[in-house]
Amino acid sequence: MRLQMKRLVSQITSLFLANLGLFRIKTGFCYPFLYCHACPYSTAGCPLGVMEHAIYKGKISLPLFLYPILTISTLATMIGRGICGWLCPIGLLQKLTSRFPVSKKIHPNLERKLRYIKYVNLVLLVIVMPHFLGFMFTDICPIGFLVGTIPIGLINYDIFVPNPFFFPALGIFILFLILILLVNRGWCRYFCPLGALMAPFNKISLIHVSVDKERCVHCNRCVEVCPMGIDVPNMDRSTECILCGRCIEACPEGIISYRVGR
Amino acid sequence: MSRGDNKLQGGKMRKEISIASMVISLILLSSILLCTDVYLKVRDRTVSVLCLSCIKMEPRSIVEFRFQTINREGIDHLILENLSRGPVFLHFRTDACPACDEMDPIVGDIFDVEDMDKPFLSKVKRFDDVDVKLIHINLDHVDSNFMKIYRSFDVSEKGVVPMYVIVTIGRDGEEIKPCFATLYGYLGKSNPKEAKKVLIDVIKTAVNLYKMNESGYIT
Repeated sequence: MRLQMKRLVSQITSLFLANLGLFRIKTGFCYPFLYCHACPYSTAGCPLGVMEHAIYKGKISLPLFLYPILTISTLATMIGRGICGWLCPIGLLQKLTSRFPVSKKIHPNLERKLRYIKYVNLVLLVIVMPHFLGFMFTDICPIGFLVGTIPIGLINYDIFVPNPFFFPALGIFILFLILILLVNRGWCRYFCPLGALMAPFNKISLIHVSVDKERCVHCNRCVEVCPMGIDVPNMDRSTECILCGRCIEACPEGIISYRVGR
Repeated sequence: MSRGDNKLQGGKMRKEISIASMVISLILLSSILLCTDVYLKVRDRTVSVLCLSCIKMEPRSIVEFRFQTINREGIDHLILENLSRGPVFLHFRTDACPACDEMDPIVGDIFDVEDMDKPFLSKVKRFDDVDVKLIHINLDHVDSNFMKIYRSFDVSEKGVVPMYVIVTIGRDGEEIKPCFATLYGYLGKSNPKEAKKVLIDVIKTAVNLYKMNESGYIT
């Protein structure tokens, strides 16, 4: 089976497992990826939502705060941001939207700066603001709107009505759609706070993508196919790499591979 | 030592670091799961009780008095005991819920309660010569019995907060029985102030029903 086919199977399986609530299976685990517990069929808690709950308005519950972080770190020390590439259902959605011909390339300088937004989102919207003011990311999360609000509204159209939080969230959701249509993996690259949480683990993860730089002929085919816009030939355990393996398949010299350990 | 050797040694160290980090994370995660109640908290609160501001929607608030609870097991004896003295107003919330934070002062204002921060409180206020009892319940801090009460009144069956239940007595055919109406969030209004008017109207309706049927009610 081709690598991308294996990845698709993994993403679909992950989406299925994330929705075991369909069979009334509700657990107390946290998803290791971005998925909302407000989804009618969710089976676990959103890691960012749980973190926000844990520090809401100064009421700190350290075990609850650490729980999603440890869930993610356990997996991320193994595969780094491979979670984004192989498991995240929102990654699967962006895989679909990237097929639209409107995808735009961003200037490298701007690209570098935009990537920092996700770290700001993590610190400011998921940790600092919920601690001092109350929910912030949860209130505007486009993923929550996509997998929570919309399905709940459709399934229970005769019961649920929009509340004052609805329209600001709808606005952000529309911007999210525009972003992922215009920029390949735009959400993962620039805005996903969970991606920011996982990114440092790429530096130490057991499995990573390795390039034999000495044998590289700099044909740049890997750069062209990389959905995260990474300069693959010059990367050294890039914090942006989602281990999708598209560069591995594209490399004519076969010098890019998954490595365990070193 | 050559450059290649350095690279090899750095690589080995990285592998050791990643294995060590993985083991430490796994041990800490297992400890948290085994020694604390985080699993239950996430399952029974975060996943099962949804904050209305999180889903950006709320169940349509229809003032409809029902005689049958959702689980059909009847109204809990705690509520029935209080019902013998007047209607009971139940107010459910959770810790992390912006809509609850906004509606708490409104409920407090109606019942003249200054500090709504307590996880559980009750207060009686007289409306039109009838005592109405407020029972304010923060589901994150009370025992599972209150969760059962909450579920039995949640007519949307979605597990959402804030939720308000007014329990009174009404005529079901020939019989006078306890009945209740369940409302949610901002009660279909755009802000808490407008929602206050709806809450007061519902309480008044419940009081009227109570006065009309009080004489025929056998506790």
